[in-house]
Amino acid sequence: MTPSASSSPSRSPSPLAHPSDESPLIDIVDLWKTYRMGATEVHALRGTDLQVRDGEYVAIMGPSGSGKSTLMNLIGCLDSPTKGRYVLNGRVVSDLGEDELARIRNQEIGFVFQTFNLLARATALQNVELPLIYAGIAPSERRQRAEEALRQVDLLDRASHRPSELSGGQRQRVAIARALVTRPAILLADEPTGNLDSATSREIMILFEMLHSLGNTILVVTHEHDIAAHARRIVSIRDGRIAADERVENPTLASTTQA
Amino acid sequence: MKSLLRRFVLVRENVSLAVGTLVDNRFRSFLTILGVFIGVIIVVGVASVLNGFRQSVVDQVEEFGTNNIYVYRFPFVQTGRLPREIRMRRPLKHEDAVAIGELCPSVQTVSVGLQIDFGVTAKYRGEEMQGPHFRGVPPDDERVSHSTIKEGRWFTESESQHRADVCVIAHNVTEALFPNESPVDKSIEVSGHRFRVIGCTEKLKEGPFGQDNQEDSVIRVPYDTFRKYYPNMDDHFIVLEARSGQLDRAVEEVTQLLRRRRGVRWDEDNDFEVGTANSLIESFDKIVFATLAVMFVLSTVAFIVGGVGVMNIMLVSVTERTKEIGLRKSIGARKADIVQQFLTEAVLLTGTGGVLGLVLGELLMNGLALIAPTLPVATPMWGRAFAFVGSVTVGVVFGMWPAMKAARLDPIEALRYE
Repeated sequence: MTPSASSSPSRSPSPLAHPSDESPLIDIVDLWKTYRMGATEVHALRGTDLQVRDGEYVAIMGPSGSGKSTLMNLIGCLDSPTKGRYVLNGRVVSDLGEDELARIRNQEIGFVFQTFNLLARATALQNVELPLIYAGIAPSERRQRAEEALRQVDLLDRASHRPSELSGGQRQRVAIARALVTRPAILLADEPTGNLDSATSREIMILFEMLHSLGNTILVVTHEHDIAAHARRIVSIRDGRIAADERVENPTLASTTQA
Repeated sequence: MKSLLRRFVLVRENVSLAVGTLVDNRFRSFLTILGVFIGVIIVVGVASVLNGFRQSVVDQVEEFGTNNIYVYRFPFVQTGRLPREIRMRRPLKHEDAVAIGELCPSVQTVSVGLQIDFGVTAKYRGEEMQGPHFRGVPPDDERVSHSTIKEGRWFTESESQHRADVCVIAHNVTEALFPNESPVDKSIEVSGHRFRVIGCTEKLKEGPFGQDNQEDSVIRVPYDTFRKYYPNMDDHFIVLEARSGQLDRAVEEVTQLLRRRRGVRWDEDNDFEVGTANSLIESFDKIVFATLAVMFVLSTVAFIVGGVGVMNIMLVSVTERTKEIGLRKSIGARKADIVQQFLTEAVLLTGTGGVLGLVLGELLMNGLALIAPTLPVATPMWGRAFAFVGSVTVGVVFGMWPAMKAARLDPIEALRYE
C-alpha cells in the first residue's frame, strides 16, 4: 500500500481554537460519570484527568469495566459527564446541549468503529460523504472532498463499490476516510482492528502511522498491547481513574515490521 | 444562509434515502400503503360520481327554465317518509293559480295542472305503453315547460275551452306508440279515452344514470279536457314563469298570496312548497352533502387503518435501522435531522399511496364513463386535493411517533445494537 504523499495535512485548525503549546487539544479535568442503577450509584469515571496535545498518537487501554468505554464516549461527545470539565479544541463541551454536541461530533471528531458501521446500501464514496451531508456541504464539494479522503486511504478505485463488495480491511479504510473527511480535530478509533485478522490489522496500523505523520491527532481505544504499542503514548485506565500514562520509547512501526 | 443550505442538503439526502428504501422494500411498501390507496379511491370515486350526478341534476333542472317557480303541496326532493303534518296538507286549487295570475305582478305566465302518475296505459293499434304520466295543462304550459314541438303543434285556447279530445305526446310516448310512422293526427287510447295526437315534443336530456327524463313520458291534454274525465281530481301543481329578473320578487308575492288564501297564521310555516331551479338544486345539495359526510367518514376510517399500518412499518424500519441511526447521530445528525429522515419516509410512503390512488381512481372513473356514458363523472379538483392532502397528513401524523422514537435513541446504545 502506498499512501498518497500529495495529500495535504488533513486537518485545518478550527477558528474557535487558539492552539499553543500551553493549551492542549483535549483538556479533561476531574471528569466524573455516574450511572444510577436503581438505588445504587455506579461511578464509571471517578475524577479522570487527561491532556492530549495536537498531533499526538495515544492509545487508551484498560480491561472491560475500567471506564475505558465511558471515557471514549465522553471524549467523542456522545455523552455528557456528570461532573467535571472537558475542553476540546478550545471549546468547553462538557455542558453543551444535544444539538451542539452533534455539531461538535460532526466537525471535531472522526469516529472509527470496530464494526466499521458503513451503510450497506451506499457506495464507498456515499459512505464517506455522509458526515459532509450533516455539515451541510453542497454536493459538488462533498464529492470532491470524499474522493480526496478516499485517495488518502488509497481506495479511490473502489469509490463506487458497496461495502459487501469490499474486504474487511478495505471497509475499515472506507470508515477511516469517512472519519477524515470533515478534517476533525481528533480521530477516535474504538478497537479499530478488533474484527480484522493480523495482516489486515497491520494494514490499518500503517495507515494510522501515515495519518499521524501528517499531523493528525489519533486516539485508539484498545485492549490489545501490540496494537497499543504502535502509539507514542499509552494511557491505562483502571476503576475509573488514569492508572498509568507512559510515553512509548520505541513504538512499533507497522510499516517496517512483518506480520 | 449556511443553515438554509444545510436544510436543503438534508432534504435532498432524506428524499433520496426515502426513495431508496421505498424501492428496496417494494412489496412491503405496497402492502403498507394499501389503506391510504383505498381511502383515496373512495374519495375520488364518491366525489366524481357525486359531482357528476349533481351537474346532471343541475342541467336537467335548468332545462326546465331558471326563471320558473314550482308550487306544490309536498316537498320536491323527498328523503324517507314524510311526517304526518305534511301528508295532511290540503291540495292547491285551480282558483289559487287563477289568483296568482291576477294578483302577482311579477309573474308572467301561469300553468296549473293535474297529473296521473301510476296505472296509465296508452295504446295505438298493436303498440302499447305502460306508465306514461297523463297530464292536463293549459295551453300556456308550452311556454312554461320549455317544450319544443318536433312535429305538429300545441293545443289552442279554443281547444281547451271546448274540451277537445286532443293531446301532445312527449318523446318516449312517440317512440313507444309510433316506431315507424308520424304520430300526428293519429288517434290513441289513454286509459280508455280516445285522443287525437296533434303534436309531439323533442327529446329532453337524460338523467344521471342514463334513465329517461320523466318529462319525456308525458301525455298532455288541455286542462278542461282532463277535468271532463277526472272531475274529482284536485291535487294541482302550479308552474309559473317569473318576469325576467323578478324571480325573487315573484316567489315572495306567490308565497304571501298563498299563505293568505290558505289561511296560514303569521307564526306558522308554509303548508306548501315553492321551488325554483336554484332551490331544487339546493335541496338536492343537502343529499349531496349527506353523502359527502358518509364518504368523509369512510375515507377517514381507511386513512386511519392505513395510518396504523404506516406507523407499524415505520416502527419496524426504525428498529431495523437502529445501528444506522446510531452511526448517523455519531457523525453529526441532530435530532431534527433524524425526525426529518423518518417523516420523509412516512410521507413518501403515504404520498405515493395517494398518487397511485389518484391515478387508479382516475382510470376507474374513465372506465365508468365508458360503461355508463350518460353518467357524467367528473372528478372535482377539491376531491383530488382532499385525497392528496389527506394521504400526506396520514404520513405526518402516523410517522411522527416512530420518527421521534428514532430521534430520541441514545447514540451509544444504538451503535451497540445488533
